[in-house]
Amino acid sequence: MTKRKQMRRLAWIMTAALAAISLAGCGKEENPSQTSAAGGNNGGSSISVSEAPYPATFEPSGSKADIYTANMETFQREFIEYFKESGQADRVAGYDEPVSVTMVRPYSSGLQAIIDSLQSQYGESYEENRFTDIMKRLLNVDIYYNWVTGQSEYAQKLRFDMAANELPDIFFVTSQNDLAELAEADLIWDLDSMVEQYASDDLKMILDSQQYAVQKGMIDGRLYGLPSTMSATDNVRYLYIREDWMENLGLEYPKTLDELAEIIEAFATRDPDGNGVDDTYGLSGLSDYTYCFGAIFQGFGSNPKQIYEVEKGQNVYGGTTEGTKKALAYLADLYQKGYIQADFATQSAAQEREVIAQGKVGIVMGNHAIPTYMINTLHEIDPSVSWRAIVAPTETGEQNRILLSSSINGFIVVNKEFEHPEIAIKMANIVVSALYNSSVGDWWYYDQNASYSLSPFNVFMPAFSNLDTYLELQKAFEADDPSALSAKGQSYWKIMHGDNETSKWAYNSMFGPGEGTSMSVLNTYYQAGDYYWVTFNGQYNDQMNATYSSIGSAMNQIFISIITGQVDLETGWSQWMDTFTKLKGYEILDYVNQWCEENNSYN
Amino acid sequence: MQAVLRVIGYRSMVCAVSDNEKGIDMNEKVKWFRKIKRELPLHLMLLPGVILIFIFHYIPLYGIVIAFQNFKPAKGLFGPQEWVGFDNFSYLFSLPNTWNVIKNTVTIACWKIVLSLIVPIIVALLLNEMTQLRYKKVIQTVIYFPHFISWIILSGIMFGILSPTSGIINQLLQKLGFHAIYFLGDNRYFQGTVIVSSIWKGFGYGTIVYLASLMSIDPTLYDAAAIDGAGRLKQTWHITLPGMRMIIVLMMVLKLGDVLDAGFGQILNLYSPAVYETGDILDTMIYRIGLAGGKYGAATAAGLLKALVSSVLISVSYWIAYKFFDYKLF
Amino acid sequence: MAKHGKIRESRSRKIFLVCNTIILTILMLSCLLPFLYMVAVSFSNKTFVDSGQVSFLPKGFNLYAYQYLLRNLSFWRAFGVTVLVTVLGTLLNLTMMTLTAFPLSRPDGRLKGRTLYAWYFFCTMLVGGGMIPSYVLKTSLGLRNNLLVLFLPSALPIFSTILMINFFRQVPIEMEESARMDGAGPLRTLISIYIPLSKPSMASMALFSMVRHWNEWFTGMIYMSPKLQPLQTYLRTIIVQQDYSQLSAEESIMLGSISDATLRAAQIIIATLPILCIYPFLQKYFVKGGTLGSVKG
Repeated sequence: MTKRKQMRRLAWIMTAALAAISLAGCGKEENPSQTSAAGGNNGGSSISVSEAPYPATFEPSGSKADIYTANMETFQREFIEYFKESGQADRVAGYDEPVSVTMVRPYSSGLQAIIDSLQSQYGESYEENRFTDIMKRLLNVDIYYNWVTGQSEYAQKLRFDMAANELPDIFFVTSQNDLAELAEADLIWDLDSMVEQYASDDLKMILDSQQYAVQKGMIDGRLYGLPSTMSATDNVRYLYIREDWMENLGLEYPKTLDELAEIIEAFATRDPDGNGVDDTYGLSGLSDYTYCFGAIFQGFGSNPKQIYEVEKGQNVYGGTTEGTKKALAYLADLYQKGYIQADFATQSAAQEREVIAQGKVGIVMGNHAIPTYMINTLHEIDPSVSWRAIVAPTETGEQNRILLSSSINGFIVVNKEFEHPEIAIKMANIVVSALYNSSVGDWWYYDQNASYSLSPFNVFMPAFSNLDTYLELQKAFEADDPSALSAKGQSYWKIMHGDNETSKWAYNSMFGPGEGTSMSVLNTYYQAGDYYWVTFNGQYNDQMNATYSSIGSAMNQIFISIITGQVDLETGWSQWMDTFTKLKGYEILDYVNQWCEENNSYN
Repeated sequence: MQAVLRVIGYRSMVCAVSDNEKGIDMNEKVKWFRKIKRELPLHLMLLPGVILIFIFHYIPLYGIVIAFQNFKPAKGLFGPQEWVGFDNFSYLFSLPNTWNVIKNTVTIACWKIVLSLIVPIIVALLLNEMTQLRYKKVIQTVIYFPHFISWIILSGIMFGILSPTSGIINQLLQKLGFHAIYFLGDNRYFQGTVIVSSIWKGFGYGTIVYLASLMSIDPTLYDAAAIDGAGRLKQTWHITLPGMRMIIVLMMVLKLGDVLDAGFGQILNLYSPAVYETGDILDTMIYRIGLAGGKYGAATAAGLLKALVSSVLISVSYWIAYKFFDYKLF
Repeated sequence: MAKHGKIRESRSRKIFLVCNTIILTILMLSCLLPFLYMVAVSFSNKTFVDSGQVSFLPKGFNLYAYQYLLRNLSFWRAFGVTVLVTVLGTLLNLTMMTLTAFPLSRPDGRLKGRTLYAWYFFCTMLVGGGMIPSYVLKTSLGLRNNLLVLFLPSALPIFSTILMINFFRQVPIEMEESARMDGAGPLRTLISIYIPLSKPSMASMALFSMVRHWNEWFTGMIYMSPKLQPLQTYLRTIIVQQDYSQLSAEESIMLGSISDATLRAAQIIIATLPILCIYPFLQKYFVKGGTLGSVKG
């Protein structure tokens, strides 16, 4: 053996030895889950209502450790006072003996950078942070995470754990199906009485405003999963147009879809940026055509991916309606004329953003947050470009109704073998309180705009949360006084008066004063009462389990080929309707109708 | 007296005979003992492997039963699952795109196998002709680079380079007067893109293997052929290729078993709904149905079918190698 | 690298040589350019990258991405995990493979049940039980979130073992005979004779093993938490495209402000560099070891 190889072998062996030692020491994370899942010896069987705070076990470390301590103490004090005075003390009572709770959690990988900076500022991590700390201080509850994984793998890993009988004590379930399976296998608690008894007034108020979401968590009329509710307006689609291009070409903002088509044509053919080169498109897009052309579908009254009622007791699958067919015809026509960027269907959001940043399109469609992630790069390159959000043009020119769908992150469930299911509700109370009635709410949730992701539960939002924020901000703008704002409002206000120019511009384009902001469009719909709800909130039956997602994939495939002209409208449409029937779409609708009759009261 | 002597003589003869027999017995036993002593260490050496494989491969084989169940994770792996016989299999074939997926898988895999055999051979032959030795070594090193990159990274790079709006390839194409091509989004180009990128990633490895084999061909054979008046091309056909025959056969045999393995890691990271029609392969479909969609029963059934077909193909290819090329794998 | 026969420097041959060099150069460049592109992106200004103005040379040169990378704890943690797993995993692989391949490479008659053993191992390449039973098994063995899961179950790759069997068969059987004559048992023979003689093959197996471990991402995704995830699993979380329509508005706001192509590129470069550097080291062994054994055929 050559000397060099010998040395290398030696080095490897040493590394291996070192590694073996460290493996033995810390390769495996502590896993006390066994004891608590067995429901054995923690907390005792009697709960005495003790006085918080309990001694904390987390020590903040880092550049902002003192801020942490100050805020924590403020919150603690306020919390205890508030719950005592409002007579809700027993709903957040702690335990004499520490109770260990095992959980699991998904994390959003895009936020890694922020989590790292929170680590250096406070010494926090997903496993140990301000939230786990406050649960200990107020309830004497020790939270342990069995594992933490990316959002897209979370449901999968949870199912593996189900198969392996390794479920944690309290956890988050992302799909209604999984919730139903767990309930049927009798693995989780029925939370009805828990919520009744322990939910704080604030939490109850939020849940009341989200009755559709609550329905989703019910199996056979009992609540098994506490829905982590989100704003129900996030799926509304807006149309954003470049104001400078409109001016250059002397155009007027469209009220009808025909007018919109003319503008799309103009943007594609009449050199709207005035540089003498034919380098602009009418529309760009990305792989989810219902997203990037959302406002057009909305304008035709079409909601392809939803099941909703057109009449009482009559549900349709959005992809099979006349409106959808018209929308497809409209888009196919534009595509065939070359006004839509030919390869939109393979683009990611990042690529669409690139195209916009290159100044190649002047119309963008999407949710209300488009200014923060889609047209922001262009703003960095050329801050003079301004966009306006408008109400989706319709066939007649009259504003039509938008479909709202109660949207949830998932459900909070409690393992049947865990002896203290009420802890889940108490934790929810704390989480809600931190945001809604604490003076340091925006530190809890919007620290670097992302600290809420450390919370074991996503915060519960009332149905019109974003709209409410918008309206209160308008009042604050008028009075030029932010003092009455909620935590979320405060944090947005700060951004809109802050140093980061692009963020300032983006938030002003959403929540700022004046017309042309996305939220002002939402407000227009709201004030006119032009909205209706998806009323089916049951879980999937066997037929849906078998074919519902195949229906969705088939639809996507066929619709994209129709739009891109790979198949003509009539052939494609009849193919689609065939597939829909073959995959038992109508049977599914029958089930949905039946569910609605049984569960919704029609008066 | 003579009788006694004779008896003694017989006796000693008998003793001598039985002594010999004992001697033979002894030899047998010693031989047997020695054989064990020689073989036992070999068995012991195999033991860790046997145990490892038993734990991590044979025990999980239990999971095959999932293919025959309507598997609900919540009930647990060993729980009261519902037995549905062959329902999962018929469900698979009732899905609209199953046959299409099979077609895609076989098409892509076959192209990959053929090209991944031919391209490295050609490149090895070309490299062999190079006269600048240092430069040749450089090329050899660099063409091996793509092999080291994971598909995760490579897919990120590919999306960037092949981007229809800002990617370099398309910028070049447009400068040359062509239309932009959406390699990763157009059903006409997706398979080709997948195949070419896969070959590009792997040809360095094959090239080096063939090159090594090339270099060990007896040079005097070429001299003799040159004297007989054979040009380079003829020399290649008659000497070089036959000389590499064994290696080529081995590679072919090893790859045939992969026919149903059209490249899960690659395609999962490159495909999108727009190209399911030509890009969806067995493994990605299984992944979507099973892991992502939660229908483990159907996914396991699909995996089982795939394993069955693969086994048949592998066995056939090994038998061919054995019969026609006298090659035993083990 | 013998020059075959007399060199006839005919015109057509000269042309052929030139074309040959050009073709091979193009091929080589095609293997190099994607890296150059990534390097350029990693040194460029984010805005230029997002608007597609960067090709092979950086635009708006800055070191921001690398400075950020130095402070990025998650990246380095994952890097460390991968280095550790690669070293340990490769050592374990080599050990297991040689231990298993040697007995199986003995000619018929030397090992009772040799064919049986061979089939026992080989059948695992044909069929498997799927993800769920694997997960249940490994979890009950306590392997979840344990570094061992990243290299223990895969400690004996059958395909490579079969290759190794072929390598060992290359060694003349007389070697073993004379070792036995000297009184050496099989283990001794393996260690003192076969392994040194198979250096090229061992090096190439080591290389394959290292690359496999370095690029492994799936196992990490299923079994490891962020603190212990390997490098490629971590990279996947930043490279995989987000589906914006599935996110809540809050989340899409979050992600929009963070996704940064230059950061991604820098991390990709640093993640790839080590494995690229190993290769030239081992190259001198590898070229000989790449012969899969049947050259003499």
